[in-house]
Amino acid sequence: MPEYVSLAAPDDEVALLDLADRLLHKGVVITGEATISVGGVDLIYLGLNVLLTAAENLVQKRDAAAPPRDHAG
Amino acid sequence: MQLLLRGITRADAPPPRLTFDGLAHVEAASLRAFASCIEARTALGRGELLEHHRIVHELHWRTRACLPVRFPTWLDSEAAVRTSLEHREPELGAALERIRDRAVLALTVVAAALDEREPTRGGPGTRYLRQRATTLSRAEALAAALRERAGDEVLDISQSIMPRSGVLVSIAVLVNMDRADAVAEHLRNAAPDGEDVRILVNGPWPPYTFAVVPAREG
Repeated sequence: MPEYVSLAAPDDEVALLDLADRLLHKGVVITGEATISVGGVDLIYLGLNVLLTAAENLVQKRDAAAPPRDHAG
Repeated sequence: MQLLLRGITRADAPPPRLTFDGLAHVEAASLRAFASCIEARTALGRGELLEHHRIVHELHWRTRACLPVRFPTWLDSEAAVRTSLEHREPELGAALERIRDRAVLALTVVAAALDEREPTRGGPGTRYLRQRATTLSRAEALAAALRERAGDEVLDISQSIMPRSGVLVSIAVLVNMDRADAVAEHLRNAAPDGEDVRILVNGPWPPYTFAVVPAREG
């Protein structure tokens, strides 16, 4: 049996978000008396987006700290 | 007691023995639904998301056909589960046969470097739109190239162009479970020449993307 998603490497945050997209947006929708918890989905995305936003901010800060590049024209 | 639904399988073989806490199964007609028994509906997070994935994953690999249920789906009782299964048995049964012995590989194509073709003329708005158009065009070309290189072992494909910041293309491919590792290795090296991108291949996963059951009218 293949291994589950590992979260050891930084890239795996991308994997986790991809997996979350599929779990939360795909799969069988059972109708009738079932309830899909929208609030729960929001909480999960909030947690994941905090991580991604933090990573993007780090990259932007790193780029801002780098010496400016010369532009022609 | 509340039931958090996990997956649906055929009921024609004994249920696999799984060791997840509180996991129970309910049978109706020719189907068997697996659900976790939880005292009350609670807020769910990353841990519960991964637990759902682990359960569905193990069910799919043990039974060779498990329909993942959209997470998080709650039902109030076993009777409600039975009613849902009986109500949709034909559609669920057909969907199970479509994904039998199949798995999903998820390709995420990430730009490794800033686009060198970034426009430098015009105001901020114009530059943004030009940049976006360039990136969109690049992503569409990449998706087409990857589809072409995926080969005959790919049984179905679903793609999303620029689904979020930093991701050019997200592709789900449906493959035979027993060939998934070999196809994954092939796809990891499928980046077109001259494209500075990283292709992350995740999976094999249960066929979340292709577990489609049409809505019933009326």
